[in-house]
Amino acid sequence: MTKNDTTPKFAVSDIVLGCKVWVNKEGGTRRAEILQQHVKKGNQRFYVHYQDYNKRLDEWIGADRIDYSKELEYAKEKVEEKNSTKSSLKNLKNSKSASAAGTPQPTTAETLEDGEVDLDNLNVQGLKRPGEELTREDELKKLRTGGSMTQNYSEVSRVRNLDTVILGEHIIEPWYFSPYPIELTEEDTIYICDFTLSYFGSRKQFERHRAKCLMKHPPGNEIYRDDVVSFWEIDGRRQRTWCRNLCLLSKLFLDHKTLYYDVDPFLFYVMTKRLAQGHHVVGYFSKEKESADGYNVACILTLPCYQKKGYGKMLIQFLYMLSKVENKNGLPEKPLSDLGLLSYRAYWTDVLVKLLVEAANPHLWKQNNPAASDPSSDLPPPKAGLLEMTIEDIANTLNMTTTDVLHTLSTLQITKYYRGLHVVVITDHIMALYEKLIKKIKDKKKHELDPEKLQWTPPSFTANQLRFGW
Amino acid sequence: MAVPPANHASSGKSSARQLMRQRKISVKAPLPIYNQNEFAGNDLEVEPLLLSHLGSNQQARDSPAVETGVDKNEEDEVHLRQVINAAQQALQGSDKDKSNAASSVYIPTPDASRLWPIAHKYYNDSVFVEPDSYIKFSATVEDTLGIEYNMDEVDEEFFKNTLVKEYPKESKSNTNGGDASATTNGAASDDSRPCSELEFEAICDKFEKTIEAKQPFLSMDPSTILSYKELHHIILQELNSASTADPYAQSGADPKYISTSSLKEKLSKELNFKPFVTTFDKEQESTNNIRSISKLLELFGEPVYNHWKARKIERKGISIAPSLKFEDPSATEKDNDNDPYICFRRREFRQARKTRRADNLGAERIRSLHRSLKRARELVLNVCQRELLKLQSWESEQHIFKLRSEAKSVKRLVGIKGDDHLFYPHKRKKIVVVEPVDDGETDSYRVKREKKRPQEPSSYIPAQSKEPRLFATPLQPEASSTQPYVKLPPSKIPDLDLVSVSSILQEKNEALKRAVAEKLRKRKELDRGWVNISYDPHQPFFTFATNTSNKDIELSHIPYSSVAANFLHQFNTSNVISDQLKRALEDTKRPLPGTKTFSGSNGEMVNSKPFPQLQTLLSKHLNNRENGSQGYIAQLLANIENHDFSSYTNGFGDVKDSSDTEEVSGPMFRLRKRGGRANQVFVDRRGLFQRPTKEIDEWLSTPPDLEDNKPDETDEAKPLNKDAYLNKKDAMSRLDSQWRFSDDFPEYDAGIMQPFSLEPSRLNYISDDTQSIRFGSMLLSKSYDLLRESAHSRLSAIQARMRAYQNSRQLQQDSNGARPQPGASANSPASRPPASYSSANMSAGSGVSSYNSDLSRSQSGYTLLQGLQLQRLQLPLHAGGASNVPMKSQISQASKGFSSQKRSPNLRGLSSTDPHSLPYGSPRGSSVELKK
Repeated sequence: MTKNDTTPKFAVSDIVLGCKVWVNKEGGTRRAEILQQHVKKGNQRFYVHYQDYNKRLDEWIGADRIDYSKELEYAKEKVEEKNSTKSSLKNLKNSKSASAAGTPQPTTAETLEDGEVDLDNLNVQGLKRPGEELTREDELKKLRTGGSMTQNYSEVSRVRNLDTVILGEHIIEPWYFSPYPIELTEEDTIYICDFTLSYFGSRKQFERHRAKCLMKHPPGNEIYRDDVVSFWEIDGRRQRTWCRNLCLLSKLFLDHKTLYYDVDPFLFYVMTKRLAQGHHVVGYFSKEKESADGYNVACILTLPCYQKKGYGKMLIQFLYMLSKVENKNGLPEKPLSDLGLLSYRAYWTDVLVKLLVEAANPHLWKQNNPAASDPSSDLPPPKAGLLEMTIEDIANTLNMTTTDVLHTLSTLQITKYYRGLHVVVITDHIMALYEKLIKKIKDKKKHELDPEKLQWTPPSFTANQLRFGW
Repeated sequence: MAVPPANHASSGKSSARQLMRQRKISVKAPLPIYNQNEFAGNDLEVEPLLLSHLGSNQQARDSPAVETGVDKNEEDEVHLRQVINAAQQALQGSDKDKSNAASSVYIPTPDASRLWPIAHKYYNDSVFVEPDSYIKFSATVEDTLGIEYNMDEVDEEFFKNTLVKEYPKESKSNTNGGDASATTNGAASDDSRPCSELEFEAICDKFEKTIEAKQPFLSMDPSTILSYKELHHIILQELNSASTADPYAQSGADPKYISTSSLKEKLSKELNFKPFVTTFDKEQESTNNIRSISKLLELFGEPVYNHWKARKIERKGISIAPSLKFEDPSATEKDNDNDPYICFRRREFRQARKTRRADNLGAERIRSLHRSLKRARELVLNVCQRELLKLQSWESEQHIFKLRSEAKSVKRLVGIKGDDHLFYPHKRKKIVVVEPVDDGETDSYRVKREKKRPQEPSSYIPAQSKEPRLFATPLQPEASSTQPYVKLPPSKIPDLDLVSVSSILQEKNEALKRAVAEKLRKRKELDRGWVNISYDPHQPFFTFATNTSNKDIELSHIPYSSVAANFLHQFNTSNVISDQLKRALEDTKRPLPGTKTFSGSNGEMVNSKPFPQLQTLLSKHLNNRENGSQGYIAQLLANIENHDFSSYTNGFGDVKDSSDTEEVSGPMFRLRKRGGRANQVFVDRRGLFQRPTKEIDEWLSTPPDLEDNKPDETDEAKPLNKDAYLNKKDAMSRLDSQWRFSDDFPEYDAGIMQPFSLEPSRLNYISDDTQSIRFGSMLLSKSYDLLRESAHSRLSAIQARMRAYQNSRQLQQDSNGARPQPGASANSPASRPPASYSSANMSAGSGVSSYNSDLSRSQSGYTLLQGLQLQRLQLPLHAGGASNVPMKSQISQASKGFSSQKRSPNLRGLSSTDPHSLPYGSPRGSSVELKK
């Protein structure tokens, strides 16, 4: 706030793990939490997490980027609840910083306590967020019963452990922590085979591996193929190594993924792009073999090197295609990531807009659906004039949950209140969205999957097969 | 653009009305869909509830909103909010805003756009060829990897600087394994070739795998690692043992995971085929060149071991390649939980409850699985061996061809002629095993066979389609042993209709069907006339049914019948006509009414002659038309004259086929016991007769005459008189009693036979139940006292009337001898339960206590004693009023129904009025004497 006040309020040595400082970032300053520090070639470096930025933007910074003119805030007392987003400005200091800075001295008890926290911080094991311990049990319980997404549970995993990953020909910067063998974290670059997804810290090993490796595509059954992509179904139990490799890789880019438990209870649907060498993994989603909560997705990821090219929407379209075959209305497991939310919203918007506009305007439906002449298509019938649909109808048509439909309707602000009734109004804006969508499809900018090309029967498992022991 | 103005404005306006609108959207309520242009925009307002809380407007934020699904901590992230707000604004704002807002805002992600320029160096395999069909693939990563050990930089240095330069040592008898190498007589190149990278990896892989198997806990103390000698020994031993019979039994107690490479090794040993290259081996060339492990160990074992051991110890005994961290069983649970590098934990699951049965089942299943797998493996192995042989044969053929062409050129060169046939590959003849059998015999045999063959199919097929034996062998068994293989020219092969499996099956099926149908038919024949009385063994019975269409009504719910049966149950299912009687009948040649006359003990039918007195009787009856029963009478007479007594056995109601009455000397009826499903036992009855009452009565009154006429019969009867059961008179009365009650006719039939009933309920065809309920409810209103009084007074009146009636009936009976059968008529009034109650308890008047038991059995559900009481007082009146009804038999029937109450004092009064009533309590029991 007081930008002109350049007098340093603290020194580098005051900085401890868990404290918050202001850091120069993108032309401004941003509050950031120090998560780790180390000395490299004599330079002190800090790993910082910017407040209100996603963790994937966490980075190592030099001490020079820290704005010393603004206040340093220490981590709050351990016993205190973590929930207060506003700083209570208690100015708690531990003994180390107190000696250097002229800030008020905290009570000795607190000092001791903070000292303990420090020791924990130094030890790799410790550093739990306050309150974490309470939910830990529940968290694990949740994991045991089903899905694979959850909040990370250890502070170590808050720090990215790999610098660069080379997957096939792509050089990718990882976003998050992933529990690759700890030896690999010492390497600058790790090499990942594009087909087996095996990981190597040593280039020679990678070379040798490539010389011997014969795999050309994901080790499962191809269940969909068109000109652009193929989809593969892989049973986590049968292809344990491959699926583990895939999970490790995807953990680099999914914050909320957990690898706590093994891959047995999941089916992996992998989207690949065919090149001369074989099928390269573009993205995938995993799905519980049996979901008690009706999830049709556990984790979903487009590899970063293929992002922003519409693959995500294809994945989502595909998973709803599977749900259609299963005749179930599915929903993604929560929490969604920010990108996940946007992808889902984009997909939902597309399908909803298409459905509603074409329901209200049958001529558009005829015009824009080659399948319209085909009476067997399950698209909405071209009824003229006023048409009514319940949310449930929409959900069943699109195999979405009613909540998701409502969610999308609300984000589109498409439901209005008219003379005491809820109505759906196709606003001009929605029409614009629709036209854009149609144009995209016509211009082949957007690739639509063809349900006809899906060769898939939902796998069924016996109770014994679902008891995932070793 | 009639988009509602930005929600700031509208929300302000709407806040007042907001309460009214808190109605949520129901997912089941239909939402009309409108196009915007169908609206005058004023009435439209955005549903405030649905405004996303991520919108910039604070008010909307406060209201509950749809969950985004993003983690709460991350919902506030700057970039996400920017994007969402931009989208929100785009929806509300104009087009211009939208386009630049949406495009400019995005969520930044770390860089992934760079390409690795040298990637192609590592991905330079042969081009992938995609099959037309979708790929099905089940090999695992490990399967496709080849040798799992990958050489890294450290290995490479050693490999380049030491291994390749210094090894193999030149001489055969070098330092390592000198004597072993001496035994091998492989090509010299095998020994002198330097180690390849693949071979190095093969050795290391072998070391790793072996140590892993032998010292799984090496990491506890890496210094205890096996020495080269031990390791070498183990590996060689394993290699040798792999060639023994069962390669999978070798691991004995602990069946372990067999790595792909060691599996290949084993198979290679087993098939004796080297090099063992599979489709999973990438560069087949290099794989081909790899030398066997024993050879490699011999050449490079020691230096590689030393290098490898150093690395292993440096790695503290764990595998050299970095591996994932799994749960450490020795660490605490908390440590295991908290280490972020531990991943892919085992999932705990509830163990299925173990039972011996489940265990056995599982064991059996595993055994059978093992068997089938083993069989499959053998099959594949055999196929493999066959293919190897084929390969060999091709190779040798090729060799021969080469030699031939060489020889040919040499021959040309030298100029030798002749022996050309040596240069053509001789067409290999089909191996025909011909047994050296004498020619003549074979020929004759052949003829025989040829004759036989065309016939065989026709003779086999109709024979109930035995089995697929048809195909088995059409030879006589004695010939089959010496059967030579005879090749017939195509012209001589007889036309043999090929019998398809389906036709055989069909035939079999049809035969089965036929057999079943036949069985069913026979069964039906056997069952004709049998009535299932398992649940109602008691005879006679009353039915309350009025539904005439339901002939085979179930009798089990008829009250009292079972009680009676329990009490007096004594079946005499044997011939109820005693031998004596039979003889008497035989001798007299006089037809017994109601029975067929038969001659001889073999039971031949004899035309019976009518009784003379019967004739008069009937003629008398003929004229008697007062009862309107002439049809019946006429029929009866006609029947008698025609010697058609089927009406006696079958009744007049329906004319059945006489086949079941053919057994003239048979028992009156037969009971048979048969087992049904689930060990149920059924009792069937066949052949009951309706008593020709009048005739029997007449006849019974004539026994003296009978005896007089047949002295010889009486002579014989006398000594038998000692036996009560063989007493002729008794037998006859027994017969009578049986006849009396053993008519098989349900109530409705009786009604047909006896159309004289004037019972009120019968008059207007109101059902008994309805009638009962009507009465009951009507009478409910009357007071008990009144009732009782009237009951008393009426009782005496009734008794007086009854006596009077009885007298009059007696007179009547005398006057018209040919009355319709009272046996049948007796049934009709008795069928109404209230009536029977009343008559049974009449004398008691208000004998309330005795009702309790009656009530519980009452079908019609009377709940009130009063109703019953009155009813039963009234009904006799009706009956009495209907003068045609023989009161005596009515009462007797009633009391019979209450045979269980026979001893109750209430009955005494009644029994005194009618002596008939008491003994008839025993319908079938021949032990109870009929008192007359």
